[in-house]
Amino acid sequence: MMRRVAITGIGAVSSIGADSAEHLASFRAGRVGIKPRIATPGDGLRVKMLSRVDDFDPAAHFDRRQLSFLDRSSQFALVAAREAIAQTGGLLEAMAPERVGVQFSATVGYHSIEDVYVAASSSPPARPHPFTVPRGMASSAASQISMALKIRGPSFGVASACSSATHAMGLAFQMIRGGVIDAAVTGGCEAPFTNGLISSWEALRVLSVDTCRPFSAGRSGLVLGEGAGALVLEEMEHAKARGAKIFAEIVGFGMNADAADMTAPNVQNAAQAISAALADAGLDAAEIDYVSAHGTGTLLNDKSEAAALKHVFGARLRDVPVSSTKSMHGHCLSASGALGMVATTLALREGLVPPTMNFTEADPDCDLDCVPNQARQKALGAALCNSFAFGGLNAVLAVKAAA
Amino acid sequence: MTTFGESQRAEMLALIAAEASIDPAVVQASTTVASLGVSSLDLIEIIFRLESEYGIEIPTDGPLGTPEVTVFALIDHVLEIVASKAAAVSSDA
Repeated sequence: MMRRVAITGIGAVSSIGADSAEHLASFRAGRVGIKPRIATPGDGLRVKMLSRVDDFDPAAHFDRRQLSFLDRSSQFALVAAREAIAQTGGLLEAMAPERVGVQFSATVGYHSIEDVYVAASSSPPARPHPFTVPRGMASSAASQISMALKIRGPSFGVASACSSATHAMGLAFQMIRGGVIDAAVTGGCEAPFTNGLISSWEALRVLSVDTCRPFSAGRSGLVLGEGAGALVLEEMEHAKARGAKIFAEIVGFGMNADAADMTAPNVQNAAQAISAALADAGLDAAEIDYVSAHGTGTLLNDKSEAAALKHVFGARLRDVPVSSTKSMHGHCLSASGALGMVATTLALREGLVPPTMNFTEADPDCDLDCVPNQARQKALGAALCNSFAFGGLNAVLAVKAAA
Repeated sequence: MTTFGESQRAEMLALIAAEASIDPAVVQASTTVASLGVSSLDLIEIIFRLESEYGIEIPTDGPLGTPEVTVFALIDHVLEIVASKAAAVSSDA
């Protein structure tokens, strides 16, 4: 019999909450964390709105020596990972450390990199922080989590732009199912608010001029966000044997590549990735009760995602709630799939469909029920979580409510 | 339109035509940027080149968000921004 994979812990940090309980409350209330950017004189930036993690005090979470090694992105990752592990009720005490892995988004430490370039281009050049390399490297979060939690199994970062966390979680799922490891701490993190990176996103002309309103007419783009999401995945029989609380079960993973455009999504391939996740899970599209959409709020993504879902669900699509929590916490890039899975897990556990906020008017090109502006109570049996990244890298997870 | 504007119009058309690898003469009033085989990404690069060339900033929320815009509408829009920048500079002086 195929090994099954339970979710036995979740953790989250974003503009709408310092932990997963606050995220649940925000999803219930439809709280939007997107706020006007605080401009600094001469920063030259134009973007009006960002989704920041306010009131995050690193010193409250880490001692000074540890902080020297932590980019802001890894700080978020560690906070989310610690929360997820704390929720397992003693997984790490019940398992050999080499049977646990860390699969996390490969996230560049942008703050650390920007600091060193500013230092290097000042006159005379200032010296870089001695730990710029270990802070900035894209596997830093995975290393930091493994060190902090004394996890000694296969651990690495996974890069696929905005699908990174979903690919990481999907790999962790497959490794547990395949018997390589018995548990994993997995997810993604991002802290992209440096002048260099924000201006680069501006140059790409995909940022919203007002707010993030996925699937709505009048949407004008995405809003950048920062944060992290983490899941603890555990082999089902192990979780049951130690009496762990099971939040939900990952049952399928589908992934593919468009092999076409760097930014424009492809309907056919997105649909194929969704179908692959369903096939891997042994689920029929008719059994899916909720979709946590990639839903970035760009004209093109939402239209293509709606068309891909239509392709998979047919006329039934109107009866399947499809929402984008990016309307609340913004697009947290490498972390976005992990925050999407936190939302999906909570949706299944609580019977709560998170809303798509900031919705103003239906768009005929997005003919689906995006749960506009208000959460819904509804018992859910199975759900999908979509990620479709720049560069055409698609990843979809299928999740079932705990039996 | 002034002669100055006309020459800029021709320059911009030449720049767009070069990016799209087409003969500027094929562009008519109804010709869209997309119909020249210019994708939304190519358009972003064209906008970037126009911004650099004329020292202007073309806002994201204008009519150039999609390659379905006509070439002439694109040029008119950019000329307007160039003209208002020139006016601002001369009133400063």
